[in-house]
Amino acid sequence: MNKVPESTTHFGFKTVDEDKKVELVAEVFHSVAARYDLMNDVLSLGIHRLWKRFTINCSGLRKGQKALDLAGGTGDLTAKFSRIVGPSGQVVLADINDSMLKVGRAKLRNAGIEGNVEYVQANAEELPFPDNYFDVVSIAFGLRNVTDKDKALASIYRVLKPGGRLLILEFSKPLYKPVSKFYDFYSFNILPKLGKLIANDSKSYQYLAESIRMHPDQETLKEMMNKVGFENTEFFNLSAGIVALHRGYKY
Amino acid sequence: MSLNDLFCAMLETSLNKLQQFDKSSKVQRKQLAENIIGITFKEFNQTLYFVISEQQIDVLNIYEGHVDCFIQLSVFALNDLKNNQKLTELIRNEQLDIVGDIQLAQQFAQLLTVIDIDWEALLADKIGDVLAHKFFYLINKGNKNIKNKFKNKKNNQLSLLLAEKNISPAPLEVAFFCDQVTEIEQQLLDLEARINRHRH
Repeated sequence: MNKVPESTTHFGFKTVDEDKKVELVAEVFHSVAARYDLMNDVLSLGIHRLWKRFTINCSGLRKGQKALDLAGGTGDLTAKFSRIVGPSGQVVLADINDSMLKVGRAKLRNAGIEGNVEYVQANAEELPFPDNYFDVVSIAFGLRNVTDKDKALASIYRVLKPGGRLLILEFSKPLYKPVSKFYDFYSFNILPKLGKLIANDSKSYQYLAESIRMHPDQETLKEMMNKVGFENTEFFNLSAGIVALHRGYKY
Repeated sequence: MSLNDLFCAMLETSLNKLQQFDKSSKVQRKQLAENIIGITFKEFNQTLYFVISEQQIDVLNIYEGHVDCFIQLSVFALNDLKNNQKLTELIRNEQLDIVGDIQLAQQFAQLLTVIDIDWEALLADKIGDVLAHKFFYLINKGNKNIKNKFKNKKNNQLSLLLAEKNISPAPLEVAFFCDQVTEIEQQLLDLEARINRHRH
């Protein structure tokens, strides 16, 4: 007899069993890993680099500290973190998807970044690190793919040192109606077509657009962070709210 | 996110692109690696932090930790920073203020301002040796021609003023005139001395 799933979650606009989402998200990223960087540049017109730069500026990371780049993908943040913390510090690039991790590791090693970077395949909901370990945890464009976001936030809170900060860079809700209209048109009509053209995969980019709509808005995410214990939480709207950076401290 | 982020991104990209072209810069970066240098340019009133590593230079506009060297200077003084003799002069003129290791600041100024790029070799990689050589040969030739033309024009104008139109005196005439002036000055002094003598 088939086991009846206890709960469901969303995968884009579809509703799927909770234990299926990980697999489905994994499929998406296995499919886009090779062309991930190129697609990011094309789809955001290179602006994602500025969003990430702003995140690094807000991280307050220093020489000798420990940072975790969660859902780090191809390692854009890790590269910069690694240079800032220097050989006395440590950066862990963690991603649930081994294809993305492999692409990231190859890219960083080719760029000569090694020594203080470790690669870990890990699920954000159950981080395999000791309590109070990291000074900074960042998760850029990863949280919306996590099945149980509250569990992930709690797990991040656990591994952060007191005084440490969490940075969540994620798509959010545009602030203005006209921007929102244009953005919807772009996401549902242009984005999947570009995905088809460049990465030969329109479904994954259709999922990207849908998952962004299902992700909690600025205030909701802030509340979720407060609920697991983060303090002084704040968010910065970037590019008219298309993306938001949330920052919270553990005291 | 502000214009500062965009400015930093552009500065970082162009700086590192230039550094990539200069083979010697990697050695210099290695010497400076693991140092973080803060610079406040007086013209912009904005502090930039340069994180130096063997791979590249990262530019941040916020850094909350301890910097190895903090420099406050005017953009125009950057070039003089690497010159030992000028340092005290810059500090005295209040164009420069350094907190931390001065040698580090000087090495960093050297890294930023001395960039030795062999453009011909770079172009040769793209379009081949012959074309690159021809291209730079033409540019150098053109450059020389323009310089010569300017020189000739200057000479022509000089002879026009001196010989043809006779507006300006020739050097010898000027010297003769100066001698005459000196002679009169001497005579005047003599006369003055004589008058003074008669008065007393």
